[in-house]
Amino acid sequence: MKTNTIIFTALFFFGAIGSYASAQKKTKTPSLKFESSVSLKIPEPSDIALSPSGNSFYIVSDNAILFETDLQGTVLRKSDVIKGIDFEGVWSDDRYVYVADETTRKIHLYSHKDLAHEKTLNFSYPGGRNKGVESITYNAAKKAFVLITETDPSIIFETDSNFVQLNEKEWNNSRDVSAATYHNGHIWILSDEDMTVFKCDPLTYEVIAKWKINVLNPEGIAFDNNRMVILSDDLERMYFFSHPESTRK
Amino acid sequence: MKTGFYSLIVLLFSFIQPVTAQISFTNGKHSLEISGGISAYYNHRLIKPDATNQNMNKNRFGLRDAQLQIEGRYGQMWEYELQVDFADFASSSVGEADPENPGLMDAYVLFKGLKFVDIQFGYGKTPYSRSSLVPFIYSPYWQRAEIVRGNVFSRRDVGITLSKSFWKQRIGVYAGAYNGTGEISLRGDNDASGALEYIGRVEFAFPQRMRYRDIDERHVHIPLFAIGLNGRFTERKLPAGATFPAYSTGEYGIKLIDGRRFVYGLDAVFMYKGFSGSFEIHQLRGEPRNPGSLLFQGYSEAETKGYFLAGGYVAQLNYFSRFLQSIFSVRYEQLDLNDLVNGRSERFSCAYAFQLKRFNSMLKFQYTKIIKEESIDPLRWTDQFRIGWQYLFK
Repeated sequence: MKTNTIIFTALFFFGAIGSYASAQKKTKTPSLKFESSVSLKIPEPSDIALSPSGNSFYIVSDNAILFETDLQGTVLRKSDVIKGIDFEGVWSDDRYVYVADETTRKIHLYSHKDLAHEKTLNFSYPGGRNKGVESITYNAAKKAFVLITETDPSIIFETDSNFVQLNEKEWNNSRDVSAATYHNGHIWILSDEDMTVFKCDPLTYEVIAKWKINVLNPEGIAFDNNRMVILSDDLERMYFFSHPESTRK
Repeated sequence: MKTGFYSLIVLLFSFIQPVTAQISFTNGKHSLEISGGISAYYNHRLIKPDATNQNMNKNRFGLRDAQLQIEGRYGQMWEYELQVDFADFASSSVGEADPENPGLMDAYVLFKGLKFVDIQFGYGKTPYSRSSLVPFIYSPYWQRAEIVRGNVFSRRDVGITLSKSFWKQRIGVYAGAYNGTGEISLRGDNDASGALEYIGRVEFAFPQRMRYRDIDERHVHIPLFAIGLNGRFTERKLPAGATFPAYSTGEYGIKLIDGRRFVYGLDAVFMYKGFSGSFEIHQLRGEPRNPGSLLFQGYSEAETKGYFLAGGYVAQLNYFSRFLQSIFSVRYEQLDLNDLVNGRSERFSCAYAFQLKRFNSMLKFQYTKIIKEESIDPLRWTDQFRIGWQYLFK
């Protein structure tokens, strides 16, 4: 029986090593390394969006608070706590700051002027409580808001400005979706579990390019000037990368 | 065995379908979700040729899980969970409760309205042993290691748990008071001593918090590790003539003793680029009040100094291959049920899991070999094979 045990152990180890080697060989996704990072004084930050002026960021926290920071992550002001539960997505345009509450399936609209809560809209989704809308952005190419659910499955919903659904499409290119943003005519999708950024066609959502990032638990993505900014929820940090396309070979 | 194996494979593949979305409801303040899972396996044991009992009743199909789970949240302060396993519900209401997989798995309310502490009240897992706290659905194995299966210390109980996390949830502190009768607590009364069990746990993770998981599905590029220390204490003084409730002392008779009982343990885990490993060690010190207790194995008080020790450890290594959608794992465990008896048991296990849809739909295979057995826990089998399918609707 000792021989059997040794054979089983050997098979498992060789299997593991073999598959590890295969995985390494198959990995062709380029990696990006962050250039700098700052600690945020925001508990469990879960998404980030550039303000329309381009001079500040909006960041939402799991604790149902909207923050505005400067471009280095220093908090400038914050909203009152509203009766939300779990803010996971943020986007802003000239009219409002839009915040998606994953658990309650609500979209909260805030004013830029004083971060006052102005409106609440509903976007119902029957999936898992913590697998609801994780990302919100505006797809200018299709003139539609885009809401994406986290996982099991990840679904891209296109809606009008009242968040009435216009279209939906399943996204199968990553194991989850933790954030999305519209930048330079493309949709950019971030996956926490794959630690990967995807650049997508805004009309079809097909992946055009992708990059691995060396950030644990990435939950938010935004672009300012020529930088890509990634938020880490667990580490409560903001990471600054060169624009992926400026480093692409 | 061949017929059973082929039947299982045919059965498994005939039912493979895409996993559907979990169902949840919300009214804007109160949100609730329903999920669950089913798992079934075929088990085959090799019986010792010279065993007097050649009963082959363990060569069979088994339904391990038929679970339904309701989790809710009310505002930012209240959470609750109710989880039932119908596969074990009927048997555990009267006979021996399977501590690894009892009928009622969770029934508690969690209050998060105080800044300095969260309070959980009801029935659920006690904050002791990381291996015990890892949800079984994230394991490639069909059985937990013997020392953490609930036969040496209880895994669930009725009581109150206070908890708090610090430093971006890297540090977690837990303390609680429980009946001490474990899974048997659900039958109503405490034992005749009326005593409680007290449990505490401290854990530290770096560079970020670590959820209770065994497998590095994300292939983290920065090494993660966590370490935990925990202890539990109870002192029971049964009145003359009283006995413990049926099955409450567990398979080895050491889950509850008439006297003082300390258990303390350490666990550690790491993850890096798909590899992960864990190590966990526990020691039990029992001080039975009666010098003639069977737990002293017939030794005099002068020889035992009034106590016995039990304990052991388990070490596990895993690799998750994204390319093959597979988990490979090996595990070694040692268990000494009583230091007053020579010898200890040793087991080796390996597991392979193929993910059809991540953990939501997974084929699992486990092989276990008894390397050594302790004289007070003789077994009639030497090897066990188990293969089956886990399907979660979530």
